[in-house]
Amino acid sequence: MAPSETDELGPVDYIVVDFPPGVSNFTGEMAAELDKLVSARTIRVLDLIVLTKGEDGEIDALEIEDTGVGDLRTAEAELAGLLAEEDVVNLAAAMKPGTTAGVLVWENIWAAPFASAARRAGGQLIADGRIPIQAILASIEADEEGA
Amino acid sequence: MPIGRMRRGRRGVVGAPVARTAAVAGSAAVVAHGVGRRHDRRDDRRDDRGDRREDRRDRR
Repeated sequence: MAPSETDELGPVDYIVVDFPPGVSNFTGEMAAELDKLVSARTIRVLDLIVLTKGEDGEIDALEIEDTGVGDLRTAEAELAGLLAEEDVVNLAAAMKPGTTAGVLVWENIWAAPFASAARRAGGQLIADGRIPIQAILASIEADEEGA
Repeated sequence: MPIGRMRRGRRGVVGAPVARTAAVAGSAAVVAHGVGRRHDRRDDRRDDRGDRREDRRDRR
């Protein structure tokens, strides 16, 4: 990524999605949805790997081009390979033994122009985060109980 | 652990071992419904404020 691109870099997020044995059902739908987001320039995929954790805790990391998971041509074209070996170990800490997980790292391209405008206006990011769905559900339930 | 050569010997970005997130219990539809209800309540409060303002104006 060139320095000029990092000036306009949007917020970067990641997810680790676990696929327990016997539950996985790969139809290509995930790849198709991801490709739509990339094609629409909503996100840019910075990294995409598949991790497996053996029953003994041993971790295997597969690069997406070695997995044959769906058709990810648009996403693959822009992969920056952001994650380092130590990141793979840190991310796999969330996995249960005997499972496979997909790791997706993406840039929120849609947010970059707003972030740049905020910076130009003298704004400084002092906090950010994600509100867990569970917290929202708990809050709604508490509201309903109190209504 | 077989891992791409480009990933070796580089500085990481994640920072620390990642804690497992609890499984999502509710569907997005449930959340949207709840958020919608809150929106309705906010509209109700706005209407109430408007009514009070009109009452005050009428009294004057």
